[in-house]
Amino acid sequence: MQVVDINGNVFGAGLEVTGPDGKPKTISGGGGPTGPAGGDLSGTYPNPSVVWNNGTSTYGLLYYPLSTNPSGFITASALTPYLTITLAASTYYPIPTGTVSQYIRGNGTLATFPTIPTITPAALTKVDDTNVTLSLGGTPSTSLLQSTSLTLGWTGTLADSRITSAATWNAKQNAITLTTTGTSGASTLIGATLNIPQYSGGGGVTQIVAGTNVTISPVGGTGIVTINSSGGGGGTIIKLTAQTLSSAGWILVSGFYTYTFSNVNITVNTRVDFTPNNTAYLEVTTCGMQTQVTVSAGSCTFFSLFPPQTNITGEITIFPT
Amino acid sequence: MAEFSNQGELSTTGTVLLTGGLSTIALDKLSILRFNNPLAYNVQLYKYEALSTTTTLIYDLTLSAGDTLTDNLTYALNNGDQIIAYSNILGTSYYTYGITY
Repeated sequence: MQVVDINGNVFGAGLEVTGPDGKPKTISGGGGPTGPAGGDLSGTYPNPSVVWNNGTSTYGLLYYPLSTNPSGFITASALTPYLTITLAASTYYPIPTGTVSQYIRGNGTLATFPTIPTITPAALTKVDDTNVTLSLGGTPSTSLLQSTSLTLGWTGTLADSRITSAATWNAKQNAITLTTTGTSGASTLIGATLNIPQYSGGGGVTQIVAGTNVTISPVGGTGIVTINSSGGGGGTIIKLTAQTLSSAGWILVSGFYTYTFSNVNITVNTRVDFTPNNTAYLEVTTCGMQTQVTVSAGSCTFFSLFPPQTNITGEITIFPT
Repeated sequence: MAEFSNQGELSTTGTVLLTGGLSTIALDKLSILRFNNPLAYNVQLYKYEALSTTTTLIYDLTLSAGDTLTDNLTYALNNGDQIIAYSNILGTSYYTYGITY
């Protein structure tokens, strides 16, 4: 047996290796294999001499990565026969060639893109509020799929916080200038100038209307206004002569005998006096007729201490008060 | 002349198995070497020559677990020459047999 170490030194007989089972092991040819040994000759062999099962040497066997195909050995024509088998056909789908208007569906077939409908644009419009306006930018007339309108409005009262920070607003009071130009005409507020004319005479009264039995002159313009009474001075004294207070008309009420005299001219704003005739003076004093006369609308009441025994005649006068 | 046999455990830093002595009769000789380790191990055998103060690797073997290496070659040593064995792991036992003069 010849022994050669890893450095290539050759030894003659006399060096022997036996395994755990006591059987000799061959260590010629650069030493025994390392790694697991199996029926498929797995392991590392320093100087293997391997041939194909047909006896052809595998000396020229190369490591050839398929991913990079460095020598171009893998060609489409070389692969075609293998890609046509059933298994390959079920795994690798060839990409079909369609037209520019087609796409490949999930099942690998071609389909034509559907026609995309033409969109008619709609407008975005707005309705302004009196004090709030909105400007639409861009191309609002063709900006939407469906027409839409915005209507602006104003709700509630403007909050103080919206105006208190405005210097112009806050300065308004001090910004108004008062002038007194002219002596007639209406007061004006133009811009920030309030003008009140220096009126004289009527103090700005433009029309005076006269009431009943009153005349006013002049009725317009300027100057001194004169008011005159016309007619009865606003009321008429009515004298009713030869009136008779019947003795049977007196009624005892609350300790006094009363007589009610009716006349349409008597109102709560009138005063009624009774003047007896000379012939009735005795009866008036006998019955103790009082000077007090109470009035109400359409009538008045006379009073006496005792019931008159005869009729009392006299004159009744109605005074406006 | 005297025969000898030794045994022991190789050191990973080297174990001198025999050193040649001064003799006018014959050279000292190491005739049998045996090594064993239950684990996979490596054995290196060197010969040191005193005259040239050089060390020569005789063999370097890688062995499987439980392998026994038997070396029946005869190494003759001049005065001061040495046979040195190394193992890469502890636990490698050895046995030697030889003759000194």
